[in-house]
Amino acid sequence: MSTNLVLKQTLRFVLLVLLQVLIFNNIRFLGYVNPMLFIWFVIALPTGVNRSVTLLLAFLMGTLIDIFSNTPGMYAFATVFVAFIRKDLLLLFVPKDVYADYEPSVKVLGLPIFLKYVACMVILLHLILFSLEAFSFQHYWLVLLKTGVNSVITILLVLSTQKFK
Amino acid sequence: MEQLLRFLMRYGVYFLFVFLEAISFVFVVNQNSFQRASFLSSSNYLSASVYAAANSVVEYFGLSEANRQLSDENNQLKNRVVRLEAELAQLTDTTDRRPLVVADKEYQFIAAKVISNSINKLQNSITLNKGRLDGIEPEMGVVNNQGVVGIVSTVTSHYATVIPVLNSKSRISCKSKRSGDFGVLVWNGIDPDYVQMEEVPRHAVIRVGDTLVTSGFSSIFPEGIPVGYVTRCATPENKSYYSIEARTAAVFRTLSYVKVVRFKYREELREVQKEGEQ
Repeated sequence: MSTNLVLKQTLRFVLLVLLQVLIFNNIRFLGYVNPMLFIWFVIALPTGVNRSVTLLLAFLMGTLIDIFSNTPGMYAFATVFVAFIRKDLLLLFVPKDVYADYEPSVKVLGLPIFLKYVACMVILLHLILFSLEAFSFQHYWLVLLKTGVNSVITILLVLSTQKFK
Repeated sequence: MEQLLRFLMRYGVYFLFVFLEAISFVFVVNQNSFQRASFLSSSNYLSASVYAAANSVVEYFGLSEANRQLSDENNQLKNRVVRLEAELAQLTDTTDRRPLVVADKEYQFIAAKVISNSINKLQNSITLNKGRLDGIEPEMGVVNNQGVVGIVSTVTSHYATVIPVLNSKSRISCKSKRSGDFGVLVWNGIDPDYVQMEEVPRHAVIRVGDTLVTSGFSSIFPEGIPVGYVTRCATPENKSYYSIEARTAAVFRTLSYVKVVRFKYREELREVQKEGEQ
């Protein structure tokens, strides 16, 4: 991996963590709006990156956000899970003729495939996160509501980072 | 040996995955005990200084609101000074009598600024810019000029984390100011403007519009600080308790300055309560 790429990913990592803890975790609209744009880092990580490294990066990112939002283990668990399932999702959706090392994006995959992939990642992430947050079945409909609303917002935010032309 | 290595190379990712998830899960399950470990909370040095830096930018946008709140409080205090001065004058007038009231010095207040605050989670939290060196300790109450904010959970040298009323784990003992009926204030995690009062028996008298205040049972809050105003109260047919909803007294969306309550005889009260239990 070239230095340039490492630098780009590091910048993106730091920027997304800061955006998440300073802005997205502090939205005071309706009381349950909390999009998780930070997952874009895992979504758009080049597929050439070693799978173990991907997991460790996801764990580091989750733990950092956990520390900022006083939720030990919550983001770490969800992020690592999504990072792990990423390869299988890509294998499932992406046709075999796409070359091996690429950054998942609309440009490379086309909108329908990318959207399917992002939706799966984002919905899984939100479902795990909010279930862990509630940590009981008492709040199940609130968990579903939060997952639904925030998944839509996060998917829109992820799409807004993409170049379509 | 070679086979073992090959095995590890092949399935290493799965081991790593299980390992990382196990660590995270242990953290999640032991949340309460880890919240005490301050390096994992927002009061640690790194995250607290990031929050402090961000707050120093954001606070300019909230200045007018903060000003309004401070001047409100100023007003209240001035009114109180006038009233107390009048009382004092009255008491000292009747020369040879001792003062009837001894000033209440059991509680002291430590002013602090909110540097991070969330309201969109089930377990919300607040970070303050004062810590152990300023005299703050875990399990101290936090109030602002509107009412109860929460209870301190973790403290480092310069920062403190607070579990606000808007946390599904928060349980604060409170009572109706008018009738004196006791209950427990909790939050159902839905609307950050409304909290719920539980465990109020049917024979109690609670009405819409009542002010809910702290009960003063524990050493955390003084008695009579507002926590909410009843907006809805009903007695469901099949339950033996009231179902009560109240608007929070403190407005959590625009929290900026708070006061930490320090009870002088905290240890003493706790000791006597412990002995009473035995």
